[in-house]
Amino acid sequence: MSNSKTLININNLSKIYHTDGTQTHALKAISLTISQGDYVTIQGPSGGGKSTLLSIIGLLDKATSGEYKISDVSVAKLSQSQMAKVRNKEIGFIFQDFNLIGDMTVSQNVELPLIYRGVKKSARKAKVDEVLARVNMTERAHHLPNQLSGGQQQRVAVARALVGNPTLLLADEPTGNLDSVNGDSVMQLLSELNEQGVTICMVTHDSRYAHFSNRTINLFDGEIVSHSSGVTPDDAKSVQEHVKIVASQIAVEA
Amino acid sequence: MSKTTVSSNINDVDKVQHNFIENVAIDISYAFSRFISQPMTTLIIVLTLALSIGATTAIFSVVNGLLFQATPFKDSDKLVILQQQDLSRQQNYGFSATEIIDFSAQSQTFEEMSEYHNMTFTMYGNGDPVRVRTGVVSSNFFNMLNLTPIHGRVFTESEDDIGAEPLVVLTYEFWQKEFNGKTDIIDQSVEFNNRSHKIIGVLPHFPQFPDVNDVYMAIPSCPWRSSENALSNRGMRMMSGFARIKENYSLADVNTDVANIAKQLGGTYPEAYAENANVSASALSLHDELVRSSRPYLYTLLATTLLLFLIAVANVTNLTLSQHAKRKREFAVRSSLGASKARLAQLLLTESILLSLFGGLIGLLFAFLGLGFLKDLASNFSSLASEISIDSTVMLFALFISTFSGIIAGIVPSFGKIDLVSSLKEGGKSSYSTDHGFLRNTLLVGQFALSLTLLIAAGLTIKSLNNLQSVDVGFSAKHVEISQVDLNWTVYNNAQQRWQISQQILQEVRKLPNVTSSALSMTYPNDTVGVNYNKVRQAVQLDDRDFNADDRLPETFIRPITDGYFDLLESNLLMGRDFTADDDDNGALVAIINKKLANQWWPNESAINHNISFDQGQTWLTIVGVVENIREGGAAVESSFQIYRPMAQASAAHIAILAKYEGSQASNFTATFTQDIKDIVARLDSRQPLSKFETLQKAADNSVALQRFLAQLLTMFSVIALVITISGVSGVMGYMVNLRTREIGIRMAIGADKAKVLLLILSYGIKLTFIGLVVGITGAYFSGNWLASQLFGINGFDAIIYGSALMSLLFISIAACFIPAWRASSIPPMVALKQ
Repeated sequence: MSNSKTLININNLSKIYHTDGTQTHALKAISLTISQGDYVTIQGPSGGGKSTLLSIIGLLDKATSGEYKISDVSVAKLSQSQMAKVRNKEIGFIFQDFNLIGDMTVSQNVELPLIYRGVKKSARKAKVDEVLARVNMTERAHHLPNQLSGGQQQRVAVARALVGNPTLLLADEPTGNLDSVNGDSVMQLLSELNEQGVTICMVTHDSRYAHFSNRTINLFDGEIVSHSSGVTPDDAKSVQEHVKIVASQIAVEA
Repeated sequence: MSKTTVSSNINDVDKVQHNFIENVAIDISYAFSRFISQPMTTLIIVLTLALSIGATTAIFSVVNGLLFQATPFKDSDKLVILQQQDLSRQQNYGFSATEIIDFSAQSQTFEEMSEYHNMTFTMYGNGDPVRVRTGVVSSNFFNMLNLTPIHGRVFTESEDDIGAEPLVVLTYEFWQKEFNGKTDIIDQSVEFNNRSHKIIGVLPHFPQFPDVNDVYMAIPSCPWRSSENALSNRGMRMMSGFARIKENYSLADVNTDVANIAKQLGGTYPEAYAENANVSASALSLHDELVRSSRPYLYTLLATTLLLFLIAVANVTNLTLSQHAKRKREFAVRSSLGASKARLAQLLLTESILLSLFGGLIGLLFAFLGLGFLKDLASNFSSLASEISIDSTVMLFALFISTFSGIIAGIVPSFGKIDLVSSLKEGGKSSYSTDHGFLRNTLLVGQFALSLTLLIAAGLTIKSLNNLQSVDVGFSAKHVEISQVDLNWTVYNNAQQRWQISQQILQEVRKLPNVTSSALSMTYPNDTVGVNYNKVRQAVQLDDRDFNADDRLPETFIRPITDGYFDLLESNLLMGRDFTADDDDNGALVAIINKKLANQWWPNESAINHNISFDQGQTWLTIVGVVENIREGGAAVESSFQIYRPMAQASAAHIAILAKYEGSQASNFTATFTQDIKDIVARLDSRQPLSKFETLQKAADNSVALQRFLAQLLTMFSVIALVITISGVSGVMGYMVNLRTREIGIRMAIGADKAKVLLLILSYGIKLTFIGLVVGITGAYFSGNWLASQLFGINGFDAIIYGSALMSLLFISIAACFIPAWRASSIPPMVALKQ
């Protein structure tokens, strides 16, 4: 873990779902911090609360109780509109299902966060071109998502998440719908981004990819059962080298 | 990211506002890609809106042209028509020349009063002689209506003086028809009857009232109006009065004013009024008079199209809800990327308004295409029909309703809350009940209810039309050809001359091959011109009782006819005999009365051989026959009291020649008859023009034109409403099946067979239909009662029509639900479970 400034500060956070008089405690008194430049993996079995926690961190959902601060600003009680603004300017999302908009081309998909931010057209174009180049998708800028492979779609999703220069990148099972080759490529991309200073918080089932991060949080039944400070340098090096080889093959295909 | 950055982001003044136009452009561009990628949905929405907006706009253009739009006259709300009344006899009448002078001088509430009466002249000097419908008006008539001639000038005040040069101005239509629009006719002279008249101007097109004329003539140019009798006799009330209300005075003020003047004149000149007359006068808004008869029908039509529009909006909203439900993931993604709820609503609204505007544009095109048809129909009942157009008001209306439908269909889905987490994960799979299900069902129920209301209204209107057409009108219109002749009354200036030419015409007509019967008459059933001629205004003396001048005889007319008239019309002579050739000017004076008058005068005995007198016993007419009642004013109008006299004893200048053709070619005789009559009249008097040709059937059809107009349009709108409702039911049920596919799979897995699944879906649709129909019956009951008060011969609650409409909608609903239900029952359980 770096010694940088704290970006996310969650204290005693709970999430309870009410269904027909029944209460389901999805998260129980979670407390954690994420610093700028961190690469955090959240792991755990299905129903453990990983995605709920990621949704709350990403301001897609609200906690039932507890404190949640981003850069020391409390965001637990923001309105929907305020949450949308913070999502737009501070957070980038990568989803398991890519969640690209089918009727939009690659570049239009990537451009969307900038449109919502009110960036001028000329600046948008430059930024989109830049970020597509960064994920090796320039050639596919005018394709529709259904004309791309799963790996390519996820790279576009990464580009869309990056285009607004977010300080926090949230990835929910980013390799879940990809084969191992494409999954490795995406993980390599995230790793590079983290090296460039992007704070990443990722939910994954795949323990292999947890090694990319410098911290792992294990959730079980809505509670943090363990923290770990990440992989050993040797493990990380071997996995990353393997991924780099695969990523270069993908780049050639793309 | 610093604390300041996050805080400023939270409280940021939305920069998006600064890029509003660009955002709209982006949304429009995206909307177009969506429309292209969803061609069927786009087509259904656009067509649904186009049909309803087109129908609503077209009818609005009629209502706007006839009711809302002020007449093209300047300050038309200040224009009134004046009339006098004898309140004790409930009779209306016009003004004499001296009364017009008195009213003009004494009124405090109107600026000026102009006079008008209508005559028929024969015009010579421009090719063949032409019968000319002529309005005789005072010089201020045109100024009052703010009519500026397009060529030449109109009359000046000095040209109202008796003895001034005879002048005419032409209407635009007559100028085009008879003078081919030539401008060099100004200052040329043509002959009207036996006098030369100078053409001094051409008027622009304008809606004419109370008559449609060919030319307008100055007062001194009219021999009757400039006669000593017309100038001095206060009882010669042949003129209508028009007036313009002064600023700061209302219609009510004018009514009070003119009633006082009339009362005062009644006291000053009692000899000019009937004995014990209770004289008064009143003013009617010109615009109200122009549209009075058609107003309820037009409001009915407008209400109907608005119902149709609401059905379409409900349908489109339902379709948009279904589309929105399929786009949950997209909206969740947009939201996760920072789109606010308002921004998402803007996208939905942009798409929806765009579709509505497309629909509106095509609807406007439909309205343009249907405009000629509507104007033709409307011209049968309103002189303002020519004012109907798709003008800026109508276009704004179309834009308004298009935008309205777009806003409703776009805003309703925006109210729904999207669960971002589940939508992003699973695309927002949900159950029908949680996914705007109640709203969707409510809209569908509303569609059923409105469709039922519309269907029943159409049914009642059609029934009313059928009732109207099956009324025993007392005559048969089959195969009767008619030609009208307005004799030049300067040439044929006495009864003997008029009867002589009339008799000659009849003799020649009776020689024509294939003519099985023929007769002459001053007027005929549904004759729009002559129907009010020869109204009896004085009390009639009967031979078996004392004369009472106060005896009221409402709506009684004297109809000069020749022998054979009743035979030709197949009207039953109930008692006595028909006229014969012996009932000529040398024979005893005789009359035939209708059953209604016979019952009025002699309810308990035969009217035959009774004598009646119109001149207080100086001359007596013997009643020789009683004929069945003939509805002359149309099937919806009760027969008036009729006294038929032999034309030989009561000649007329306005003659209708009626001839019946028989045989297999009977329907094709119009052309033959037209040519034959032209030849006959030309042989007898080459300077006598013919006025009009029509068939008795056409006249009868025209008399129910308004009702037919209403029935045709309501039927058309009902069909459109049904088509829209079918598409709505299919769409909603199809969507419901999609959402319930997994549930259906589970049901089948645990033992439900195909029939049970079919029944499950069908019963859902039928339940919604029933609720809609129950709600609809309430609406239909109220609209039916209103229609019953406006239409002929119907009951607001007609069990057969209600039953038929209910069964039709139920059947249509079952049929519309069946396809999605069958699809649902045909899904293999394993496939359904994987959904």
